[in-house]
Amino acid sequence: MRSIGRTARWSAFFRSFLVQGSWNNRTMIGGGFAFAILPVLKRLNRGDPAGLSEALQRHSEHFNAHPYLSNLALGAASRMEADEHSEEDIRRFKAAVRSPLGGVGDALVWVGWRPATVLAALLLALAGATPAFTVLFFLFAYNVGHLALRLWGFGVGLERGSRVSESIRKAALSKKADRLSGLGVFLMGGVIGSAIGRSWSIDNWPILLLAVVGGVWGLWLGSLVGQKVWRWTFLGVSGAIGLIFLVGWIG
Amino acid sequence: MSIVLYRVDERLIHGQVVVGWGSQLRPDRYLVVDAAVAASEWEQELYELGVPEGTGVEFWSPEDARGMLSSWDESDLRSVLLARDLDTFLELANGGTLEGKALNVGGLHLREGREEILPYLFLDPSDRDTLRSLESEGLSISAQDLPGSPKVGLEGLLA
Amino acid sequence: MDILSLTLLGGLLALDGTAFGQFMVSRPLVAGVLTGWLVGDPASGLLIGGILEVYFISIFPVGGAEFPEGGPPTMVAVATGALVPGPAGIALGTFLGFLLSKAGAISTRFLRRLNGRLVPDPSRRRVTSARIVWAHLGAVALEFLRGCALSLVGLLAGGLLVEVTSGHWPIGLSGTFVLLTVGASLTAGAFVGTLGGWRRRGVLFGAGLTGFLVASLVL
Repeated sequence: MRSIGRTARWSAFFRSFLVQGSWNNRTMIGGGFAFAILPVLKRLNRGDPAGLSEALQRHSEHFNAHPYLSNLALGAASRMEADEHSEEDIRRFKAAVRSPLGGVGDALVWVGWRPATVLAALLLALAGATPAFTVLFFLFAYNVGHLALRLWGFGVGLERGSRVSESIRKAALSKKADRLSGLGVFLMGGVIGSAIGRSWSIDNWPILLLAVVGGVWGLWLGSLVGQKVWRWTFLGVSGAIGLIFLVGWIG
Repeated sequence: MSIVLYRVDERLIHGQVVVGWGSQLRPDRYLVVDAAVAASEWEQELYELGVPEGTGVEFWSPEDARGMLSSWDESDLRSVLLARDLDTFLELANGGTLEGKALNVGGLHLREGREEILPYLFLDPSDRDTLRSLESEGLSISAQDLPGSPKVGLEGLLA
Repeated sequence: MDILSLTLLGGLLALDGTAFGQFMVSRPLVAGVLTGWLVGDPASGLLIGGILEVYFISIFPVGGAEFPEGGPPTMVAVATGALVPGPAGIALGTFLGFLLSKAGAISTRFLRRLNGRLVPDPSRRRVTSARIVWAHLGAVALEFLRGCALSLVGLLAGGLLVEVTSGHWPIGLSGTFVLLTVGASLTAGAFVGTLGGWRRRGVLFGAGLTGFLVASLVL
């Protein structure tokens, strides 16, 4: 077992913020992964250019995962390199770990944490918070979780190497994702409720009624169609705005 | 309620599958058909971590899976069946066992000899042959990474 | 001078979107307020950014598929929308936001293809550490430039549209409000559907809605 060294570790950690920097269809974040793990590989293969060259080769291959949780693979791959696992082992580990890190990460962060913190910030704005406070609240809350996840992942990976699955299971990330998505739906209800409450003072009752009826219809239809509804919504709303401008311009 | 999606995806259970298709189709379980993973406990442990709360996952070798196809399809549980490559599906479909089913081609990535067809799809000549064989086994084949993305038919993939 | 600083902000917002950090400065809510400060109208920034935020909430960037971009389009939406007073500004801003989010997705598709040629391909030739570093940082620089270019084009188009559409928004505040509400409710519905649906989450949704409605009426 070789030592990775403090400098190389931190260097890899900071480089990991750029892991998606060269996103491409061929290797996805493979280039970014190689860029991030490079300090570790250089340190482990000091005075061994052939070893370094081989290590670079295997770590610039296709890889993808959630960007924050890819730190777990980064740490684990660093540990496996230090422990001199076989090339085949490292390759199979990376191929197997990319999928759950992607799936859990997407559910935990993109579906769970991000909407929940965004919606909490929108609630604050609706309650009358200043723009500055709203934005700073969101950035602070979101990034506490974000940075904690990056640090945790890298640390667990470095410590456990190829045996990370037990640590991930103990962290119960899927359960956390599920709870956060419940919180997200609750807050979405809250944002809609506050928006209605704020519009209540409008003396134009028919308009409020129209918005509520249209809104209920939209909620129902949107939930039936699912994620892909944004495609028509973007197209429909921008088309409608364009058309209304056109009518105003002609008329 | 049967098998609601047959999908080829090198990454097996990942974000596009559990968040993209999973939230749309609401499966009760994922059936991973892969000889290597079915024989490897540590890989299974990893893949299990990617499955959402309350959803099951099973790992099957292609030989064992072949015998289960009809009972899965008649089961009350909604399943998503995943394999890493087209050859696995050909093994399952041989003899018309999957006749009339739709095969979703999700992600096949860069490898030596493969060329880019779609951003998420790279094929080599033998992959193309396998796609044709799958079609002649009665599967209707199309590529689509997510439920909301445009669907590309077999002609589009082989053109 | 203003257009230069906005363009550079657009480049930075594009970087935050995927390439660097993802601290979510590029979320419509944040990008909107940042732009609002820059053009001296943070309230418009919060309003237009907040509206776009609800439209973007059901979009989850899973597994590297193609998705509309949030950061630079919101910047253009706010910078342009703030030039026009009243509902016409909100309408013009959101219009530009949607249009450019699509342009952002298309330009990203091309950049990702270009990156594929730039990054070392280990299946074809030996990879050196210099190649890894320069290809990677080069791709990051290209992403910054893409964001700047998208922003500049958007700002110029926005300026033009302000001229052309000026005084031609025939529906008032209430009509604009209804249109944007119905659109946003579609994406909000998709959000609930994706996160478990009414059967599983309906009670939580209803509790949030009634709780905050009552609270905002009482307080």
